[in-house]
Amino acid sequence: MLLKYVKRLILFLSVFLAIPSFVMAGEPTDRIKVVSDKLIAIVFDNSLKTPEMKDKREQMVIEIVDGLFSWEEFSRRALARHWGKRTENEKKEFISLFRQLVERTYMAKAGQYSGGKVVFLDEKIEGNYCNVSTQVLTSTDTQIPIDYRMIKKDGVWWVYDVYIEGVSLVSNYRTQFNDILIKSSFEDLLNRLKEKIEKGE
Amino acid sequence: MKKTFIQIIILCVFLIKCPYFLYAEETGEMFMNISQLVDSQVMEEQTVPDETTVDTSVKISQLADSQDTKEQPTPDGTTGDLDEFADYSESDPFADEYESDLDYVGIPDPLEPINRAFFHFNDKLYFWFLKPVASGYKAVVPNPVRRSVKNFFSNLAFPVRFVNCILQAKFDGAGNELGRFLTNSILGLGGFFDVAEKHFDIKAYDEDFGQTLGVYGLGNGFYINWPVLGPSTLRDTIGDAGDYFLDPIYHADLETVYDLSINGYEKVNDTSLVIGDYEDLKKSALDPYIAFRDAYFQYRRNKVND
Repeated sequence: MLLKYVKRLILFLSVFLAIPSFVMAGEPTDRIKVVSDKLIAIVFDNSLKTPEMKDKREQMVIEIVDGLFSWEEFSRRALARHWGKRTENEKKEFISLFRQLVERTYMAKAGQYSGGKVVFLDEKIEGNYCNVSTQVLTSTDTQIPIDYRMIKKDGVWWVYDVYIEGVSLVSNYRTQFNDILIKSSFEDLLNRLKEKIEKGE
Repeated sequence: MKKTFIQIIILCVFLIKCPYFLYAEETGEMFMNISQLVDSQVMEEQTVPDETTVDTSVKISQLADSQDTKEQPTPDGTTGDLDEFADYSESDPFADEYESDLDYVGIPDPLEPINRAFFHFNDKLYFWFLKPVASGYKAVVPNPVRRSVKNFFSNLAFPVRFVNCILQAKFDGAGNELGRFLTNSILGLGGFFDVAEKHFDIKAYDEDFGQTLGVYGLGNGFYINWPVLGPSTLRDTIGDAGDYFLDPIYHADLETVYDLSINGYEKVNDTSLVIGDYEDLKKSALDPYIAFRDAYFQYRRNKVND
């Protein structure tokens, strides 16, 4: 049962790594497509597959993903009402740590990904916000809906949340952060983030 | 034996919790309102218009301007960060009610200490027992076979989805399910192959009694992390008990040992298809218990509302 309900949160990255078929393509969908093309190029680049190049490859993946994800928006939403109380420096440190946590655990997996199909189902733009719906068909024939929430800043679309089977990544972290912040302190939250990133598991 | 056991459980749950869970939704909201009230009062007392508050409210006002929302943050900045957040979530058309309600942490969890203990127990059960068994099974049985086994069990559970579709007045869903059952049972050789989805594009409707109760307006009650069975809520536990009576394996009237073996095998087979997922989610979480609780809550909320 545990596994039945919380399947494959990891899969949200796979949307970039499969050959996408486009039903419609607006500006936000195009943004995802460009990133997806770059990542496919890396995944299928044999010169990067050697063990020595592993770090470089991971670095390249992270750089490309950084160009699509707005970590500030991620952080602001994940801290929610605790965000306003933090100083600029605290915010910066938090953004950096949160980015590393998500990247370490999810992006590093990118290299292992193979197979699967992605269909872009829909793109809804309302003002400066957008929702791009996709569906991933895994190699085990399971269909998993993945939605990307995007925000337009200075004319560029950025991803600020990912929904996997209706489960929001940001909300999931918000619940955890909120619980820690209520029970202890912001310093403790930063320490636990650092610990988690260092341990890598 | 089994029947009486389940009947007793259901009776107990109803007798003890009936007044609570029937109004769980309302009471939940009531508590929310009170806590918000208290919180905003505390905020007002605390707020000192320092540099950071001014800074952020300026930023937010720019943000709000660019999205031409009618709401303007108060210029004196006395209302603090509650307003700040309200502003941007209001301007986000995709933000749902839970996102904008920041005190809402998902689901009441009065049993947290016990739940955490069982979470730990299930974690060990997975790593020490289920995972090694499923890995061994995975090494011996090829992927297509394991997928077929999954299809078979899923086809067998057709009455659960069919009846719950009808109970929720989703008649196209019920039609789909009936079509799927007939197609897969006959052309899919007893349900081992999902012909309906592959060749006829008939989609499954994953409905259960927990969702039906949710659609009828029953609140979640509170979170329960069962040993072995994992995340659930009071409502979904009652739902699972109800669905059990629609399960053909239950009606086969097997001896408990066989019944448990079949369920155990299904679990091992399912696990063999998703080895690594649990580890990944655990790895990404700062507090895995909360992460799973929240994921369960969000997932089920989505299922009820679909």
